[in-house]
Amino acid sequence: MGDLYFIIFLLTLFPLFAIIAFILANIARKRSKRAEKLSIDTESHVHFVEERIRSLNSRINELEQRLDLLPQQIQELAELLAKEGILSSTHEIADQVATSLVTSELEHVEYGTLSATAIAADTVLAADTVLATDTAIATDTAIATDTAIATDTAIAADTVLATDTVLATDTVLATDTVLAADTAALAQDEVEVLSASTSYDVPLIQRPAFARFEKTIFENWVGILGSVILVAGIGFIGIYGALHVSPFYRFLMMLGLSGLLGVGSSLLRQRERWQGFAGWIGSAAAAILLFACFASSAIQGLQWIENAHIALALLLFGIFVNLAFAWLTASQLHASIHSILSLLALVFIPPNSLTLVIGSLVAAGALLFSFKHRWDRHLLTVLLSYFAYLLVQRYVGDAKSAQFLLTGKLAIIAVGLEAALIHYRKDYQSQRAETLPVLTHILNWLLIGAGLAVYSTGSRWNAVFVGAAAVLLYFLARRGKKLGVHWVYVCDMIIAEIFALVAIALLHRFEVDLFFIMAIAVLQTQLFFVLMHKENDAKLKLFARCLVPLAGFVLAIMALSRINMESHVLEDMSVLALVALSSYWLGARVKYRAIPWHFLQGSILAQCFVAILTMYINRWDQPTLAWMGIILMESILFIFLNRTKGDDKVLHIQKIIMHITAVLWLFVALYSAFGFDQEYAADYFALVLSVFGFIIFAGIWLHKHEGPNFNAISLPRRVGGLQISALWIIAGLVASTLALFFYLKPSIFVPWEISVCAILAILLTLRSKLQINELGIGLALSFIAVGALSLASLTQDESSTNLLIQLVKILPTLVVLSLSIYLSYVKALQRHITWIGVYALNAYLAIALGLIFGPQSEMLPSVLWMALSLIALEVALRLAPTEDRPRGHVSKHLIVVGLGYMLLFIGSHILYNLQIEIYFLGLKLRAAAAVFGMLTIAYYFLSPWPQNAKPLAFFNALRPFFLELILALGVLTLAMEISSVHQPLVWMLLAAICLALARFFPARLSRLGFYSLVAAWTALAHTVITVSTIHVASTQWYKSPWLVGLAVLILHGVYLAALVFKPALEQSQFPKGLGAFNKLRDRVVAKKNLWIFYPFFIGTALFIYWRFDSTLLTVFWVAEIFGIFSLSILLRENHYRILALAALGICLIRLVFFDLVGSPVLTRGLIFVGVGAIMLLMNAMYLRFGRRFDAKS
Amino acid sequence: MQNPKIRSIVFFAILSLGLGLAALLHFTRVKAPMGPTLAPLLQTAGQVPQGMDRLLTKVVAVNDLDEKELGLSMRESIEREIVEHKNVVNGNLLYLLLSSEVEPAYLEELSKKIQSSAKKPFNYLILEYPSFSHNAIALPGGTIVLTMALLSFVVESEAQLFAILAHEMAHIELGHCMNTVKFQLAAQKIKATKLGKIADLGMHLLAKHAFSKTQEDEADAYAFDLLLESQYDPRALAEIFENLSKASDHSNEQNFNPFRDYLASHPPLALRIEKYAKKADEWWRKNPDAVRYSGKQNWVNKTVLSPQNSYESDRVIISN
Repeated sequence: MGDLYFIIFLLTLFPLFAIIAFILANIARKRSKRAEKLSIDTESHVHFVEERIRSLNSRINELEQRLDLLPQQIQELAELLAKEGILSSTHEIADQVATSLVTSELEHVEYGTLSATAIAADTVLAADTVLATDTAIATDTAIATDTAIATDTAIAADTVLATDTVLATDTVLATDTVLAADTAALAQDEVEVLSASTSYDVPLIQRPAFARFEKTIFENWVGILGSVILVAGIGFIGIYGALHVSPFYRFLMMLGLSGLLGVGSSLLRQRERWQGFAGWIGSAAAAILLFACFASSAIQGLQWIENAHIALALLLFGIFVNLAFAWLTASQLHASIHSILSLLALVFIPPNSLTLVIGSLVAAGALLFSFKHRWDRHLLTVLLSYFAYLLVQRYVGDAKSAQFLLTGKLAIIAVGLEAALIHYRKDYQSQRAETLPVLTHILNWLLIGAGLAVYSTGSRWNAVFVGAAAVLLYFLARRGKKLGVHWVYVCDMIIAEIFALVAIALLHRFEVDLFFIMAIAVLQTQLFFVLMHKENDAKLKLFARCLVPLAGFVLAIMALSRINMESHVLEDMSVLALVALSSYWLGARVKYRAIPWHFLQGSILAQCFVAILTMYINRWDQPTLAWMGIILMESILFIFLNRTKGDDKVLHIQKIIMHITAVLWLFVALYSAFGFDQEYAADYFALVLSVFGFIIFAGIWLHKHEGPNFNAISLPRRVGGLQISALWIIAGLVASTLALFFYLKPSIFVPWEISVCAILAILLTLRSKLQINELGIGLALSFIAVGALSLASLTQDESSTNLLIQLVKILPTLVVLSLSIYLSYVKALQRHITWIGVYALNAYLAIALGLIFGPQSEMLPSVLWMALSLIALEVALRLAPTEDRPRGHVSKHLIVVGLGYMLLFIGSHILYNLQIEIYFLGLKLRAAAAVFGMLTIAYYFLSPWPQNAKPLAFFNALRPFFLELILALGVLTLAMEISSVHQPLVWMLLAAICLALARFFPARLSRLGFYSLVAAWTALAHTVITVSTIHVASTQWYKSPWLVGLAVLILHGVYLAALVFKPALEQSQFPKGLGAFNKLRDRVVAKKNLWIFYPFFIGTALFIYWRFDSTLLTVFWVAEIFGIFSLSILLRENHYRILALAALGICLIRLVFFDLVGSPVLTRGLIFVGVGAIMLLMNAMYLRFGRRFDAKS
Repeated sequence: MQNPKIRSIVFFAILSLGLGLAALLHFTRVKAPMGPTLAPLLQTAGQVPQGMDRLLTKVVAVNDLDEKELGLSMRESIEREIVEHKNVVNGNLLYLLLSSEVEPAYLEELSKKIQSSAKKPFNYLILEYPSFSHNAIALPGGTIVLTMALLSFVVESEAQLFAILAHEMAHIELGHCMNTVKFQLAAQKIKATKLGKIADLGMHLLAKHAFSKTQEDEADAYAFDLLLESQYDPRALAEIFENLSKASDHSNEQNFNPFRDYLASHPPLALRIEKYAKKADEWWRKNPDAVRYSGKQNWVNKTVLSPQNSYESDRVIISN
């Protein structure tokens, strides 16, 4: 029964809702109509007023003329009265009036239009005195109304004065008075409309802002707020009630709410301004309806349906309504949301074939929207949602039947095809591809592929189907070309090729060998290449051109990986020969001659053929090293044979192959070095050396007989356009190989660093003398290897833990790396290539310092790195290149090195130093390290690149940001060292320091002004969030949270005063890269007082609320309000006063409903006294300074 | 700094500072307590999400009274569980390894002691839970649960026990417990406790890792301050961490693992030991004549440290 009563109660509430909604809608409609009417009438009013003013001006002129005559008339009137003996003193009065009229001070009147009115008013008053007519008194009242149009009324008064003289005029002017009054009323009502909506410049005297505000409050907002509060109250009752009724009634309530929102949406939709909001309300209505339908069978507490079929039917109804809403809405966002919601609702139903079909139908329905409108984002959203739905359906619950999987596949194909066809429309007719449609299209195919994989039944015949799909798609893509949707054509042609490759890959289900599948794939890509050439589309040709060699490479790698599988040798060789021939054939065709990839592919495959053949004939113990050596030698031989009669391109390709092979061989050699058995070390070394010998011999021979660049390849121009020969590079790497060998067999040569570095030094000298640059490259690589091995020996050699020995061990490497900088001159470039040496030296030094000093103290290397950073900067600045100094100087690289050291410091500081809690003389060592780091960074910040030096753009661009780095490090240090309670104080101090620095050094540090505000905000936020409620264990006064909070608030107030009266924020300038802050600063500065004071007000109010006892809140808040009110007087800004008044209203309510009821008597008395006193003070201040607001307005 | 002389002076001054610091480090051989870790950084950065979490607690408008109400029901539940668990394990020989239970009266005395420092309107209660794991838990509303293994194998003095209690109390006093159950407390008001629990669990899974270390650090700091306010030796906090460290395996802390650092609920014990040992040393350096007790004898006799129950043998003497 209770439920029933409650429902009846609610049912009575719904009409109430409806009435309120109706009233509100009516008010809104009337206001809207009035606004429309006003907007229509405004223009005619403006013209009307213009006309009136023009006529008034002419009347004023006329009046002025008549005023000139008036003294004389008054004189005559006085004489007449005197004659009649009515008043003896009339003469004197008339004299005075006449004198005042003659000397009337026009300049005292502010508005020109009213000047005549003022004169007229004076006249009337004078007449009033003399004649005491009622009309004159009424006129006086009219003058008191402060509108421009009221001038006309004054004219009427003037007419009254002249009544005796011209009676006919009186009638006319009386009419004028009515018109004027009407116009005045109009002007009063629409004064803001006129001034806001037109640029019409009529000097209007506005009502005081406060009077208008009051009027607005009492006339409008009281009603509106009352309604809102009533509705909110009923809403709360509704929520309460919802917890006390049965699920079915909850369902009905949700339906009711949905209906209410739906009706509201349809009403609001008719108003243009409210259409956006109406859309959201409608969206909410549909979503609630769907939720209600879903919850009816799925959510405990809301479930009232037991029958699964009815539940499904209801859910489908909800989905249908959602999709219908999505179809009708003009918003893509709403359509997407409701499509997702519809699918989401289905996710929670136990999956079976039926639900899968329903979900797919929903997705298909949602996709239809993209046929109606060109909604790309919607399409993408629906596709992703549908895929997620498919995944859930597939993997949630028990194992799925074959029928389910088949249904899924068919559904995916259908939905995917529908999505793909969306792009086969003229809407997308374009040569240029747009990102979103292209991505969506590709994603659609990907999702189809992934979906089919997920729902795969594992049938071997899939290969046939996919192949057929590839063919169909090929023709479909061509159809796209005819339709003019070029990007779809390109995209689907590529997808068709991918399908074809997938179909080939699926051949493994027929137990076809993977290698042969790959070979078929290569042949297919070649076919695709030919077809695309026929299509003659640049992009597709490029794709095919890339695909063919890629497939060839994969085949080659597969061939090499099967090298030891003797059972397949003959088959593999046959396949390779076939594909190689095919590649050569393609390359030989005249129309494809421009594309050398086929030769390359053919060559590689041919060499794989040779390799396999070699392996078949010779059974080496170390096969990889051996056959790579053979290939390398084969390449060299090939070049030798083709050096005069070969095709240039073929020769070039072969050179590339030779270089790649040489490098690969070297890596294989180095890699094998780690794995060889110690017993066969000498054999291995002999093998490596013999191949080296061949390489060096061949290199020298070719160098001598064919010229220095015969076996070289050209690098792109942007990296110097150098001719590079891998043979010399490998020669340069001899040292590293030797170092590795010595390192692995340390008993042979100890200490090996000296001997290896000596070899390196000799090779360096050789490079410098003979200018063999490839040797330099090899040596550079050797530096890396030797350095790495040297560093590795530092960690592994247990005998050398002594610091001195360790330093001696690294010395040879340091010397040879330094030598590399000195001997880095490259004649071809006419400059030193110093960067290799500089970076290698410093990288080695940085790591070595870490390895040597790290075990003593983890903090020590970080400090040394920062010191090195400082030194690097100083050296760079002193050696900055000028016009007099040669090119290729080290300064630029030293700056990079310095920055690298700085990064190392920061990383080490974060990972290690922050752990260390040790104090030294009361100061934490990690804080000392941070201070040193900040000082060094500050040195960077304050050290400009020399003006007489060549500019270094990246350093100049980067240098300003060191300020932010200092701040970040400083903030981190403070946050770690200062307790949570005291942090806001520190942030406030930081704000003050930043502000002071910004003022004293505006040229460089102006942006600290803005950061100071951020710090102040942080302090405030921390105070409000943490300090306001935190408890501390300590009883020391300076740890008391409320005291800290109070101090922060006082400091914040002082800070704001400083910010207001001595502007620093406005001058804040951010460097490039922080441009967004400039925009933010502009926003803040545009409404500075709002930005800086309102957080303070809110923060203070919240701090009071959370920190102090509830009985004291009203007093403290009123005190704060008093502060706000005072500020409004000080800054002459009305919004503070309005805020103060609003807040005062709330406090008064609290005073009545909380303090009056809940506080003890004494407390209540104190609170009332306090609040009353403050309010009186506010009142007094308003009386004293209130005019400031008028002046401001 | 355009003037070369000034620049040179500044350069050498900074360099000298750096080299001086390096020399100091070389001679003092200052070592990091563990391998590379992001824990201190994450702990510091956790202040921001923790602030957000605090703000959320304030926004959902729950207060100490709500927490107290929930705490009472949780207290009843855990008390029931303890009784049931004791009945089950009574016959288990393994439990004989645990020393005899600490008398409830002793724990009650201790709870009164910490109660005197509390600011929240809760009645603190210390419960002993029969478990082999070394753990202590603070529940909303002022209940602190200590495992028997912790009391039997880890705690060696009353000062150490007080440090643990102070740490757990900090979680309650600093609102960490309330933050953990804020949604439950809020949802309870509309009789939707389960929903609230789910929300709390979600919050825990999503965001707790970001600031749980910060909360632990706050609780440690609170505990240290409370130790300073008491008559116990402030080194007790580092000592109990040391004992905990010995009782569990922390060998993996030497490797760099940012995921571990992020996902860990507590700061690494090595860092906590280092921090509070050094803080205590620094405090002793400044207050060499302070009268402080380790409370070992109090722990043996199960009498709470007070002017009447202080033992001279427990008095800490600092030798310079």
